[in-house]
Amino acid sequence: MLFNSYIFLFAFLPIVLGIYFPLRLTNRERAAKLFLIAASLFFYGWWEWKYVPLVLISIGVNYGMSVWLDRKPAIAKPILIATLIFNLGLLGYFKYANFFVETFDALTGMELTFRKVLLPLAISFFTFQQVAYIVEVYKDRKAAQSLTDYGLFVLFFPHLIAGPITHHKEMLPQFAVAGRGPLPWFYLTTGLTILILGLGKKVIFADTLAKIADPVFAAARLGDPLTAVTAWTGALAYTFQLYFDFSGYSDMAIGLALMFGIRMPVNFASPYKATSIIDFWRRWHISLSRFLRNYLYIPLGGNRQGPVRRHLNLMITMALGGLWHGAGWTFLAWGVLHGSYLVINHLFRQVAGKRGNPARDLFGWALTFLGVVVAWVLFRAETFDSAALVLKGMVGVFPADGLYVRDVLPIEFVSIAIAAMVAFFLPSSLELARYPHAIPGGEYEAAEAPLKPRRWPLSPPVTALLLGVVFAIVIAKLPDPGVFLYFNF
Amino acid sequence: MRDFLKLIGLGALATVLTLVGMTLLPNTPYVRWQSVRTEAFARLGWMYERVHYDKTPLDVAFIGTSHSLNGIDAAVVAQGLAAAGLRDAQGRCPTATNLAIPAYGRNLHWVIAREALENRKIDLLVVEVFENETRKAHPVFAQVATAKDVVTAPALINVGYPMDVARLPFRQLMLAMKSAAPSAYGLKSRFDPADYDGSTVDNTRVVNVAGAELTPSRDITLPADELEKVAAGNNAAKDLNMLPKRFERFEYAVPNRYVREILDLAKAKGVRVVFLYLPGYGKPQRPYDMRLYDGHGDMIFPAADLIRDNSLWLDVDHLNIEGAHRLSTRLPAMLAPELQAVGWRAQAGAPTSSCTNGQPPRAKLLPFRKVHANG
Repeated sequence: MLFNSYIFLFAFLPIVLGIYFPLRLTNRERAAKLFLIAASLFFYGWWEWKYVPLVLISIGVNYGMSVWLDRKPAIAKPILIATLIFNLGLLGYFKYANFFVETFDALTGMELTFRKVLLPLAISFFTFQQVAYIVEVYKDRKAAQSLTDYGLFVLFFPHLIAGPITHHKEMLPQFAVAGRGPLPWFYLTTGLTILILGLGKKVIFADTLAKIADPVFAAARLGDPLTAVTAWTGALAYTFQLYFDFSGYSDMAIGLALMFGIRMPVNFASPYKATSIIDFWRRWHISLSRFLRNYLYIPLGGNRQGPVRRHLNLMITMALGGLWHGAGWTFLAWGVLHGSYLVINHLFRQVAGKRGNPARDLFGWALTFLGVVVAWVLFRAETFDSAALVLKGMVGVFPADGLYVRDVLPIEFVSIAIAAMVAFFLPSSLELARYPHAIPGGEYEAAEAPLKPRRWPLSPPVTALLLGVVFAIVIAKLPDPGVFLYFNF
Repeated sequence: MRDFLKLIGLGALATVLTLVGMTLLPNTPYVRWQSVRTEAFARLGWMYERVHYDKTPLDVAFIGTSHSLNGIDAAVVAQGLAAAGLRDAQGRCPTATNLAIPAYGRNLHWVIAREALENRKIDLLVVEVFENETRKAHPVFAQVATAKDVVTAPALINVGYPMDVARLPFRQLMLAMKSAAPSAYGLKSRFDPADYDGSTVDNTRVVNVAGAELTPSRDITLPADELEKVAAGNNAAKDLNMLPKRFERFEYAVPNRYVREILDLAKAKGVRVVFLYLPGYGKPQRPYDMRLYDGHGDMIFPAADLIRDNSLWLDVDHLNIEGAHRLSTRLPAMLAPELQAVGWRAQAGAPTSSCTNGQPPRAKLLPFRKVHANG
């Protein structure tokens, strides 16, 4: 079920809120939580019911192993290893088996056959959350107190499909008190505001930009060389599409969770305002960066074993981060490219120092944005050949004949320019909604993201009218919804 | 609680007013007809130009689906009629124009027929007929019809109706923006004869729009066994009444309404109608039910043997080049009496050297592959 669909906005969400709140207001806490779990499973099963048992098994195994690990310290390590093998095995089978077999066939010339496996929705997200959980239980010997709370931590529908990747230490205490007593109205108003802004980012910006980017990459896939204007148009449109798509989804998840009284971590903080690639990764998909830092980069040794090892760890972390997005060599190359950027950025800081000045920041911003755009070409293209065609077009290397000539429409330039101005110059939707700073207990989430909450100058009634206009445009576009790019990962 | 409800109420009011305001936005018909740019549906822009800007007479007009679009070369039909000596009172040769569009759906046929009948003098309207009417509305009806057409379409057993209405506010917003600045969206603000497909466009060899090929050459024959297999499967799956028979008028409410609209308008304008039976391969020799057509015009069966000849089909629904050629060359003999019935005279041995089909077609088409990438 898509957040940007009639069935979700006008049936599922009102019904779930309409049942959850009476349960909550009458202090039927356990019933409220169990209802949310059931609603989340319905939400997940709407896409493909046969994978519901898979996610339930995954939750059951992880929870059971964590309780066992907690109670049997003597065999904690084997339990941890077994649980990690289970989690990574699931991920490996469903997400990477096809890729490994195809790669093996390509390298050896053999023709091993493997039944194509359909990627279960959200498997990368719910697996990573549970890997972090089991590792932390191993460290702290503190398993979740309740299977209900743990189930809700994994299944809670706002973040189940495409994150943010939540951490049990910030979520379980919230779920422990979920469903208890009245919820201040501002949770609903702020949540609804963020949800509508997220829908606007997705439906108005991302889906419009997709129509500009898709034909360009489709042409490259067919092997047609691109002109410089066409290639840049495609690359820039995709750059902004991905941002508005994924950050819009994250906003929707945050807004929806808030309507149920739950704070989600911030996932985006105006990443295209970053003045360095290090800064970019503090602003882009923050929950994934945090996971990779805590459960891959630091366990690999982080920066504790000298500069060479540090840079190697960075490269490994980013390469695997690339592979997390998809089982393909272009994703791996995207990760390696960003790893290289980060290594260069760290080396530069060692030489030039961290302190910036306006000129350096401006240059850094331009270079960072350029590097990110180039890398997104690898991320979007399905093969190296098609990525090469787009990149060659961008640098003006194309044959005189056989060109894919696509007249870029003036409205497409305007659309990209508007998207750029919003991404570069306007406060983010969360800054406008003063999230998480204005939410009680939101200090932790606020500390994790470089957001600057803004003072909103308009009165609540005027704001409600403006949001009503945005929502009207959103629902006017709902009959033809675009897919969320991160559903593939 | 009260403040919260007040804010929600204000937001909801703004949403409703915005949606209503969007729906009421005006647009330019020429832009609306051009704005459908998906594959061969983009022929709609040419149709508007042919009807409104190309002053070449529009004597015979074909209305139908891809069966007619890919099966009838209107220029061949016009040449055949001219060769048969047909001339009007001033001695002018007849023209034929193919206004067919892919996909079935009588509501779009009505929109096209109305545009032609209300704006041009047409002598003969040739309406394509299958073995049975389809219950479905046309997929692009809601993109090219007026807002009023969309809202006043039959709501009962019209599966596309709710979504057509739901799409209306955004469609109107986009059309208003496109009407304000057509060139920004790659649309023409005014007719340009230099950028026109011509008075007669042939889609039997390759399907083409705006100077670009949308398909490879249609000189393909589907292997006979495959053709038979697909045709047998289609015939076995045929279900004329998904609802009990007594609800048939509801089940077929959409096609019945729009076929009647076409026939009523043609009658009001004094235009003769001919029904052209053109089903797919292996279909029955006649429609299952003739009641909708009886008394409104003759039905012609030029493809009676073609629908049994498996060498003439590109796929189970479409004749290939050879099949289209045979069909196109047969039509003049069947249409000539119909034209004569409305005042055209047959002059034996009349010269055809002065006959033209109006504006010539484009000299060069962009090859198929390059265009395909545009999608």
